[in-house]
Amino acid sequence: MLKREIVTSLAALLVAVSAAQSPRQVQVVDLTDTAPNLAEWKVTASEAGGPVGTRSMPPSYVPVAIHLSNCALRNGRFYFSVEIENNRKVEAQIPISMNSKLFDHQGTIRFRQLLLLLGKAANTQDATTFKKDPRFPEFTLFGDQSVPGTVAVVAPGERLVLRLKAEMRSGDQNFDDLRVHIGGSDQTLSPSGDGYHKMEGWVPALFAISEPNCSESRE
Amino acid sequence: MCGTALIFPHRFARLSARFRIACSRRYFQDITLSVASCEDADCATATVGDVASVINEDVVSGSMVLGLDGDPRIVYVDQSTSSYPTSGSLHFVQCTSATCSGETDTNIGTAQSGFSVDVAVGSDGFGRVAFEDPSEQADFIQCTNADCSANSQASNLAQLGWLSPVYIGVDGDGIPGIAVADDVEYVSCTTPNCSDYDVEAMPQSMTDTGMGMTFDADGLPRMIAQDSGGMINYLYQKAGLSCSTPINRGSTATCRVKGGSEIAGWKFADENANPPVQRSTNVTNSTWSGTMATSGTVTVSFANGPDKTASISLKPRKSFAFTTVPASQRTNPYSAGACNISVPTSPAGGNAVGYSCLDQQFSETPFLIGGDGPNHGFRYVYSASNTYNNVSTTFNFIIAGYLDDASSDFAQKQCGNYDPNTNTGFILYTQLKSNTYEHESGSTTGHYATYKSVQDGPTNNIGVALEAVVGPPGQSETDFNDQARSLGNSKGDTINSAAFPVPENFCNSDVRYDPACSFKGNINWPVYATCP
Repeated sequence: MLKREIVTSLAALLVAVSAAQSPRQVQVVDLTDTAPNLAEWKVTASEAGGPVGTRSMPPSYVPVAIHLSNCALRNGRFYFSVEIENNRKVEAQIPISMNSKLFDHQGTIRFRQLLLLLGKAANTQDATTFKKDPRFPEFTLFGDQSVPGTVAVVAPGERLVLRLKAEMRSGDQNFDDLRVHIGGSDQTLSPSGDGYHKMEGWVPALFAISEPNCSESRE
Repeated sequence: MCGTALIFPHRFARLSARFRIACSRRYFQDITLSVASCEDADCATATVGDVASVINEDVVSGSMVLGLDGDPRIVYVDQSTSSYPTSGSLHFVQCTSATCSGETDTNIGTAQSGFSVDVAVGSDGFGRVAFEDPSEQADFIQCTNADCSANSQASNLAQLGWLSPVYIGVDGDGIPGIAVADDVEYVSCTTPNCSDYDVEAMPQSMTDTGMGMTFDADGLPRMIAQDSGGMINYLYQKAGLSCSTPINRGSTATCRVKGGSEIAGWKFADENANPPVQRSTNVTNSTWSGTMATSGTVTVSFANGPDKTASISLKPRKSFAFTTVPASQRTNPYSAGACNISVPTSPAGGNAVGYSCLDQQFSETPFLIGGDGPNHGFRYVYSASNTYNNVSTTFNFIIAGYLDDASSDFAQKQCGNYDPNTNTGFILYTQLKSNTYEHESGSTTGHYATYKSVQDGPTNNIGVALEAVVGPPGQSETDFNDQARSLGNSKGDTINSAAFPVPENFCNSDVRYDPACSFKGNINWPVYATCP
């Protein structure tokens, strides 16, 4: 398979795949060597909300599809990829930075946040249920188009692959039923008193749970 | 005239006693309430002092205890200001002599008449009163001054029967306990004013015809009661750890050790096998309190002796249920939020003539419990709303203009001459319009009726579901919010799927049918047939 990879400072790689292999463009963001750099905002009050239900769904609410792939355990670290497939009619803006300090400034702060969790179906009969696996940490990505390099714009038909590494919290190496769950939200931190009032508005397009196909590679 | 006396053993002050005299006639009686101060061990000689003149039916409700000053403290019920049959004004009497020749009589509330009052005195010298209120609930009053004109009341501690006895005691730390007899239960208060408490049933069934209670040196209650087989002596010593339960989620629970040896530690375990919460400060204190998010078990360990456990059960907060939003008619087409609906503007055979759409929103405020209480580190939903960022949940529907307009050609051509016997003719215009409105927005059969029915039930109400969302220690706020959203989304999907089934299976989905599923005639579509 022919690949041409362009590595950015954020370890984002844009890959043009042979048309014979796939007509789709794939963006690859390698975060396996990136350590989180988190701002410490003092949140004095917070609220989260948004639309619920998956019926009567306008195009912007249609969720992306995600896949868990390339799982490997090396030196007690779990390497995996999360592939976000935009099979929708509108583009998806997906945060790709682990550095929330990039958004630390005076006044009102806005960014999009993507939570990634590894786990299993809470109810094996219902793939829409999810229970976080305590062996793995959770990942939070941050992004906003006003901060270059923090958002991947994924056009309809395109894919984004996030490569990640997790420090395992226990020795159990059974990954058969492992799924990945993502949840996106737009965060607004408004100065309030000596801290911030945080509003978290869910982005319906960025809520999805993968199938348990960790052993498969889709790249 | 009927008399009753409270016997005060003057020389044997630790042996206070009481009796009552029932009148043989069953109507209200003037009664003189007196104190008898015994002059000898068998009370063969006593000095009697009148306390109050009261009116009661059959029996007087009264109880007496000695204050720290050695003079009586009395509570009694007077029915003179109340109507038949049961309630009266509750009085606290602070006597200033052994025979109560000097006294301060304070009306402190309203109580049932009968056996159902009792008084104790705390280490502060002030009275504590337990009584049965007119709604047959056990109530408690903590006097905060000598004559009880200042007091704090806790109500509805336990359900009682009519004239069920209540008994009160106060431990050395000023914490009251109340025994009630219907069936026999013990209200273990965890705060001096009994704002937090734990109600425990006796381990075997007892009758409510008689009982007694006192506290031992460790502040633990000991009781006698009568079982169903007859009068027996029954000694009951409550476990050394009690916690306020049940309480509403978000309220403060207090756990308290009584009678234990040196405390070595505290921990809380929830019902979901999360790692237990260990107390990290003031671990030797005899109480542990804090805001509660989830039910579980508190365990206290001792330097010498076995652990003791007590459960804390949480009740859901009732204010969280989302109410059904009204059906709002919109202009065709309608597009807002999750809704993008339209119907053809010109009549043609097979047209949809109405459409509806539910746009559900919600928001929640997460709360992280701080401090060092039993649930510190847990998160719960502090509040929830069916709006987010000024966008409200809405139920929207549209009706084709030609159907809504009674003067339209379409409306005029719905002849109303349908004959069910021959199955000929057309539906009546007002019937067709009514059927359509009922299907989209009515309260009998169709989209809105189903939405209301499903969301009003406790199983799928988003607010009710959010109320119970709890995050374990270590969970991030983002993960907690994700958990809340996932649950709300699931409930929202259930509501939407029921209200807008695919395929649509309401009997009035075809609006030629009324909500009772009765066919009312065909629609006269263009090119119109002529009405007769």
